[in-house]
Order: sequence, then structure tokens, then C-alpha cells
Amino acid sequence: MKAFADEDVARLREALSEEEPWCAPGGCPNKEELWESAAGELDPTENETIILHLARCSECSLVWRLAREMIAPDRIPSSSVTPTGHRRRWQSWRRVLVPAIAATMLIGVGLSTAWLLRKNAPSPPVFRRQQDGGKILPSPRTHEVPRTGCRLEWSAGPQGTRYDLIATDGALEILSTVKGLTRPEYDLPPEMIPISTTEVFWRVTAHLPDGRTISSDTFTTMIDDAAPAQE
Amino acid sequence: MEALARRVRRAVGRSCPPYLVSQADDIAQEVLLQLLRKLDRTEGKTGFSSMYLLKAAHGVTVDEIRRRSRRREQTGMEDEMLRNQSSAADPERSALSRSLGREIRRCLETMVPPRREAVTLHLLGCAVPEVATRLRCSEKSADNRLYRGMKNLRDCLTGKGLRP
Ligand SMILES: [Zn+2]
Repeated sequence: MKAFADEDVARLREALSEEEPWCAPGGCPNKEELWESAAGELDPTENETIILHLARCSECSLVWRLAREMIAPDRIPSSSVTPTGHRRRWQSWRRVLVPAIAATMLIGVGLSTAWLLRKNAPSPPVFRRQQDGGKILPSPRTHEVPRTGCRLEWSAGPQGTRYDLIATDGALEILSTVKGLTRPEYDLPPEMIPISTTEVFWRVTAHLPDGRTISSDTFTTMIDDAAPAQE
Repeated sequence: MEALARRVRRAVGRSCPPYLVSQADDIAQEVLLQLLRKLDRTEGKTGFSSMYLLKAAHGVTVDEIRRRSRRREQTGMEDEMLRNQSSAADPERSALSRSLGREIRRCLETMVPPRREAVTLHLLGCAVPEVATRLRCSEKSADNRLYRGMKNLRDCLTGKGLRP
């Protein structure tokens, strides 16, 4: 027999959602971490820490519930996700979530499909020149970088191409803008990456020698504090 | 952008306490304005992925909610607002509900972590399959943890003289 009837569970849920937002003593995770937990992006240990925090913190519960609702208002991820490592799991979630979200969004159509598909592919970067004007792709090396060696690299255009780059954090705060780069790479200085930032979003605009301008999709680079800096 | 506003409105409506729910339209408008301002500064409104925009919208919504909660605390409008909010038509019920919320959290603290996690997720709106996915366990195990945890919760609340 169930401990509570369905309407009692609804009442318990309501009681929690009607709480005043107050923070539990001992500090709270930041909103990015709460988003990542709701999106299923965290590894199991980090995720458990967050859920145990939610048990005692009304403010974080609210932030987490908001994220869950925003990510998949109609669609709850199924239990078919197999535990085969953090990255594959996140991709499974993305496969479920991203199309659902894309369907309901009117802007932001530059969904980084190419990047999602190629993220783990070891193939070298290419600068494809097609009728649509070519495509700028991120180097697979930039998927995850250490904070002190945050090199953003992308596929090179023809000789003489100049690149502009803009990098932001998850709240769209600009971390850096640079113009006129001559090489398809940029080292984002560590002092420009706030300690709370775990993901950098960036876009490149390439000015080709023939006068054309090509903008990339938005790429995501994870900041891995545990990784040693690359030479 | 209208779709994004709808999503914010709906998430606020489904996740927030009554005094914020009644401001959901207002919050969604403010979030959109701030988001557009930020996108303007990033020199372009296109090219960002949906997930990226959604996460940014979530961040701005959280800031806006925190701002409003702080302002509410500072101006001490709590009692008056509670009386005026639509969903607090029954202030006594609302006060009871909030004290029930506090007691639920106290009961959660007494549970062993595996049950606490399952019950917390369930009370945040997750059904068994989602609890299992989020805790990376089988549905059977999630169901088991939830069953025992909810029983603990019932006994704990009953011990405090509370019923949902
Ligand atoms: Zn908290």
C-alpha cells in the first residue's frame, strides 16, 4: 500500500512550492550548477550532492524546479538512459531535449548541430566551402580545456582570412571580444573567466579575403579545473 | 522570443510560491527585456543555440525572482501581499502549507540519503521513471527507495501531529 494517496502527494508538493525562498545555512550551489543538475549534465556524485542540498534548501529547490520546467515542460526524460559515462549520458539527454526545445523556440535557430554531432569526432577541423558559404567548425580539442589554458580553436579559412570572436558565460555576460585575429585560435586569459564559470560559449565571424563574411554557430567549451594546463 | 516568454511564464507559474506566480507575466516581460539587452550587447540575436538561450533565460529569471524576493523582505509587505494575492485567498491555509513545508524538510533530514534523494525528487515533481533516471538506478530500485522514504515521511509527519 502506498504511504500517501495521490492527492496527499500533490498537497506535499504544493507545500514545498509555497515556501518562502530562503537559503539553507552553509552556502548554496550557484544557479549554473542547479541548471546542470536539472538538465542531467552533472556526474552522479555532484548531482547527489545537489539533490541532498535541495532536500534542505527552499531557494535552490525553486531554482531547480524552474530549470526543470524550462528544459522540458511537457516531456520528462525516460529511464532508458543507460549509465555509460557522463558525456554519453548528456548526449542522450540532449537528443531528447534539444529537439523539443528547438521546436518551440523562434530565435536561436543556429542550433549547433554540426558541433553536437562532431563533438567527439577525432577528425581534423575543416573549413568547408559550399554554396551556402562554408561552415566554421570548432576543433575537437576545445571541447574541454583547463582554465589556465583556455585555447579556443576553429577550422581555418583561406589564407588572409581575419577572425572576430566573442566569448560569453552562461548568463550571456561577455568575457571577451576580439577582432582581426589572423590565426584560427584565441587564448582566453584565465583572469577573464570568473571562477563560477564552468562553460564558455563563443562564436566566430570570419572575414574572407574575397569580401564575404561567415558567422559560426555558438560553440560550447567546458572549463575543466582538474585538467592540467596544456603546453 | 514569444515562445521563450511563454516558457518562462509557465515555469514561474508552476514552480514559484503564490506571490511570485501572480507576477508571472511581469517576470516574463522583464526577463525578455533583459535577455534582449544582453543579446544586443553580444552583437546579434541569432546564432545562439536554443539550450544556450534557455539557460540564459533561466539565469535571468532566477536573478529577477531573487530581486523581487529581496525587495519583498525589505519592504515588509509580506502580510499585506499575502492577503492580496489571489492564490492566498485562504491565508490560514497558506500559512499551514508553509509550516508543512518546513516540517517536510525536517523529516527529510532524518532519512538515510538514498531515500532522502528519491523523496526529494518526487516532491519536486518527478515521477518514478524520472527519479530513476536522475539517480542512475533502476526503476525498481527507485520505486523501492521512494516507497520506504514516503513511509518514513508519513510516520515523521504523523509524529508531529501533521497530515498533508
Ligand atoms: Zn540552497
